[in-house]
Amino acid sequence: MKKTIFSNLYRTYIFSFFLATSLFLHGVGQAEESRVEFSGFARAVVGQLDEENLDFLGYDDGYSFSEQSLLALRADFALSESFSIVAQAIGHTSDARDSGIQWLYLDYAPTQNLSFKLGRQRIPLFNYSDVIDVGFAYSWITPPTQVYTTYIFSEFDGILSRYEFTTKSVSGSVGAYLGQFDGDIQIVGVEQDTKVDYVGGVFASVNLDNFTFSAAYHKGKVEADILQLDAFEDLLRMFNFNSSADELSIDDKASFFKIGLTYNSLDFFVESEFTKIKANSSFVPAVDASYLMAGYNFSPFSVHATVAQSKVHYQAPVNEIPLGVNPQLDALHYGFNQIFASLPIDNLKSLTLGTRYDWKHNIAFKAEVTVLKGDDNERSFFIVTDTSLPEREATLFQLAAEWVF
Amino acid sequence: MKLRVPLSITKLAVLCIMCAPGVVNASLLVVGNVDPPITLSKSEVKAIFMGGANSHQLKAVALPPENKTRKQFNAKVVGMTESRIQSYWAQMRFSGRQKPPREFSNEQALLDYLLENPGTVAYVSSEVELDERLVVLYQVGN
Repeated sequence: MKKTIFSNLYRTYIFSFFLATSLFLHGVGQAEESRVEFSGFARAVVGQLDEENLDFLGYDDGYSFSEQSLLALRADFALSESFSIVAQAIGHTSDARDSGIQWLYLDYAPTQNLSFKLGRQRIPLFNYSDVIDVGFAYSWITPPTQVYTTYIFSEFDGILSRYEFTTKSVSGSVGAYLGQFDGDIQIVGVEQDTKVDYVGGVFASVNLDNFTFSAAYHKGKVEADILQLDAFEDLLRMFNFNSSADELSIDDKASFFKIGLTYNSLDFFVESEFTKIKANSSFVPAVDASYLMAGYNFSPFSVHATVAQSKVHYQAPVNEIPLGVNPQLDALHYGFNQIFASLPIDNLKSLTLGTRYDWKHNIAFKAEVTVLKGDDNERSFFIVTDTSLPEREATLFQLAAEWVF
Repeated sequence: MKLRVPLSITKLAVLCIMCAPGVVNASLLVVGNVDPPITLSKSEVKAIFMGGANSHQLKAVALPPENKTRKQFNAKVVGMTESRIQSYWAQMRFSGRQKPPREFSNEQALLDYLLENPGTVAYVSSEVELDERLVVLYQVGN
């Protein structure tokens, strides 16, 4: 794998992190302000799909409590007025989700307006990307799958800075981050050992009266070796089809763009996001996804309805293998095409109806029904148990309890 | 053409009472330990209490969710229900952006804290008796 300047940056900030931590911990004994705050969140979610042939986010036609239930603990160590260390660990009941340390960073806020975070963080790609596990923070039980499960980056090790501003009539924030990540990422539906050489972005939001407008742009470069295709890749290189062989591993850039609009009043709320992912890889699809949610409050209840959609498109790979020369090359040509023809296509339309009851100020109960309609014979975010059945339509029923403490 | 009639002393007195901070015509007051005195717009007040920055570097403190004055403040300034506000704070806290204002059980405890801490700001009912060291930064009408 290529070495980049970001490897050096990574080492530098890890060193800075521990240096700063040591320096400040040294002074903690004398500092009156130093204190530790513990907080956390938990959710218990039960769901069932009405189709026996399909599986959606781990839900099938039997009740399951284990797909999205979780518990997380957070500790904020205030080292001084402007420095703190934050650690957040999470335990998922689902094996498909990574448990462990999600956030571990040094926070430096020299003024009320400006902050820097150095360390392991979640990427603020879309509105709820960095709090996707905090069910209490949003109205749904499962945020729109089309927007919130398609991205390939979720965490990074690096630096994030945010600047908050206010005028007499407008408030908002702008920010930027840069970092890298080594770990397992889902590509082609399978966990692959992946190196994100760099990922960075800029984001902004503006509040005007009851409206919040947000926009963000992110870019990253991913390297991943798809182990299942190594032998085929070697075969292509043996025949000198190097461009085609290159298509079978990932060493590509992806960019993410989003705009969002939120409206909040005492009675109504509206939330929407339009997202666009572009990738230079034949394995990572371009995705256009969006949702529009409208809700009504009758405290302590609220009801909401959401329509969401995704359109997925893969770029065509370079197939250098000639047809009609001999049967072996023909087999190789078709074999190569078959790999890309079988990539999952996640076009999906959905309608979600849900309700939330805020029982206490930190405990909420939710119920939700989502009607899912994918295109025939495609994946549409489902796992299909009987591929001879073309329909990709199902209804997901969920109940949840959300808790923050 | 209408003739301008000089205001009677009674009318002047009534006007003065209405203009006096936190006396009549306001259900809520946003007060602070601020020197020199300033005034804030509704948007600025909302930003300060929702964790946003402000050019005056003021720090907000609040009343607990079940408090009547807080409910009025939510309705008239923030424009969101308590439930939506709590969701918002969950998002801010667990993404490491902001923490909610420190809460005090009643208005007197809040006012005592303000007096001891320059640069702090809080909302209180217009019925409370204000110490002269506190400044009215914003008034919410009935």
